[in-house]
Amino acid sequence: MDFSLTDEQQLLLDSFQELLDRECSESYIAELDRTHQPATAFNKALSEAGFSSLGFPEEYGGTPADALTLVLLAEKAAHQGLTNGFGGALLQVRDILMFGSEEQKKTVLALYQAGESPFSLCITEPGAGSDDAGMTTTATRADGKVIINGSKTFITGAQEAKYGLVLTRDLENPHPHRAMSMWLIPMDLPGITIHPLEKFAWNNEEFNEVFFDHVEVDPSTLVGEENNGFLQLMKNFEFERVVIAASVLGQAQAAFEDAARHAATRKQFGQPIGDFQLIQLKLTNMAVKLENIRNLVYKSAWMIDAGQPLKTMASMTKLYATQAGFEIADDALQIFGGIGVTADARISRLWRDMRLNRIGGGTDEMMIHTVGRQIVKDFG
Amino acid sequence: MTITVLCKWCPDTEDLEVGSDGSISFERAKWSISEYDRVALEVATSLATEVGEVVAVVAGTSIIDTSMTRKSVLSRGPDRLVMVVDDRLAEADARQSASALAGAIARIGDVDLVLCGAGSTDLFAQQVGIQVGERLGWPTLNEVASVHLTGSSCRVERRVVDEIDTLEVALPVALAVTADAALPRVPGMREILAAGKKPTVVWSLDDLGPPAAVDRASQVVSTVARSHSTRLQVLFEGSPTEAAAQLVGALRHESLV
Repeated sequence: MDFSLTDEQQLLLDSFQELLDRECSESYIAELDRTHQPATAFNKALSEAGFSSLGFPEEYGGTPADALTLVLLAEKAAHQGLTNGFGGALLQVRDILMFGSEEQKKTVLALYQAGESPFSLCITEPGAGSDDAGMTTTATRADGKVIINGSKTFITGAQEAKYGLVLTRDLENPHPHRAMSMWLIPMDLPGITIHPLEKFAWNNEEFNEVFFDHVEVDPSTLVGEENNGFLQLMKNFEFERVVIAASVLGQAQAAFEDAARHAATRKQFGQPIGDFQLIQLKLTNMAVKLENIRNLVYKSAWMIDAGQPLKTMASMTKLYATQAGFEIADDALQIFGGIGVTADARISRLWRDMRLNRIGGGTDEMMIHTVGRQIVKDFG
Repeated sequence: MTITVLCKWCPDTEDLEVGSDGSISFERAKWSISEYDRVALEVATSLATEVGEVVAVVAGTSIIDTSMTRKSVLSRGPDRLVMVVDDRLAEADARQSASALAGAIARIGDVDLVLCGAGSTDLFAQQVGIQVGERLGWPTLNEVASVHLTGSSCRVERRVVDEIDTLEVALPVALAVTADAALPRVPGMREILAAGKKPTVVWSLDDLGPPAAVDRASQVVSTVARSHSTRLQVLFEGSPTEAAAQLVGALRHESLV
């Protein structure tokens, strides 16, 4: 088994680190966190350096890249301390690349490659979180138009994005997973209201409630096939889970390194606290968990590149990474002691942000449900 | 027009380890293009969009003869790469490096402009570029903040203490550019993939003729890190008044106040 990177991967990571050092310092990230602002300047720099084109087909001006390379970059951005710094928008754009019309592809890719937020994923509803079938936002046809009514919540980036990728449901269809449709609609249309939600984590991404009150759109805004929206959505969920796990890996590595440095230099009772075995036990367990996360993430990416079905692997990877990653952050915070909860210590932000990974992109419980159900099925 | 850029493949100083006896080890250091030479590559590439090709030149022992070195250099803009690979360049001093690089430039032929960084990341002796120009018998300038080609000559801005001198120099010329002469590009996947397809030639010192291989001008007797006072990294806790009192007490204890 060869764990070494190719020259190209190593050089790309070196380049990416150069860009991060230049455009995404800790003070910049801390300021985004403090002011609840998105990383707009960094996203522009990513775009100018060509990183926004990675993973797209050449016919759309992209540069093809394998899943492992994309995962390594997501890890690297997170290791810098930036939450969801690379890969999130790319995953969304893949939905359009796979199912969108040519015009939709051009619109979305042009925005993404220019470093702008192309669209916001409008899926979750107050009564439909993990259970998409509970969705009640509708799209009805009238006089050659489509009318959208309903509300969404926990919608990331809705204020910033030019478009919304909205999932609606035909309530008269008794099969919910064959009754959902996907629409790419401008977010500045009459009838759309956005209310920001206050939260304590992922401050560089806004969460919002979005209300659709008789919003009239053209039928051409449909993405893919009508009533096929749920299956389209599921198509990229597996990769999304691996990318989230890769981000967790980078953040956990950062938390571990901060804690290890602190343990090696912070003196109490006349010696570095790292000399105490209770601290060493924490650091050792953190290091083991890090390696486990890394192996799961890299193997999942390798399976994608090898064309192997991930089945439950993506869910197992996200479940373990987010839980073990948060344990690493929690132990790191404990090693820091009081100074760790101050705004000056990066670990305070990492701890907050890593907690949300156990919810965003599929809760721990849904990952367990997905994996457990498949295990019973396989052995039944 | 051909522009050559001298690039040093050297260990990252952030990775150096200093032993308790002051000895310096680069054994665990990652190697890359000297940061200052990246600036020279960027200056050359921006000039070459108007006038011609850029040839990067790297010299060193067999440690530099890897696909990683080639792609790393070529992804930063040059059209082709010349490598002088010879184990006689182990721990080469400025005289030996300059002789090898000048020999390579002579063999490339018809070179109008040689650019290099202000110094190297690992040693920053600021000697090689100057000595290359001298060996070629060309006008040679350092501290060059900007370069504009004007036909058979070039106009350069040179920073000297608090002045900026603007000079017109006939080509060919050798220039060492300042660290802020350009912002080096960050190569993307496209540039990295393209780098693997650009041509590279490898020469030994013997391919360059006798003047390229010279003896050391000096012998290194020893290299040790300069001693620095150790930071105690003591954190004083409690209220500001208590912490201030502890700080004053600690300074008194060290006879510093």
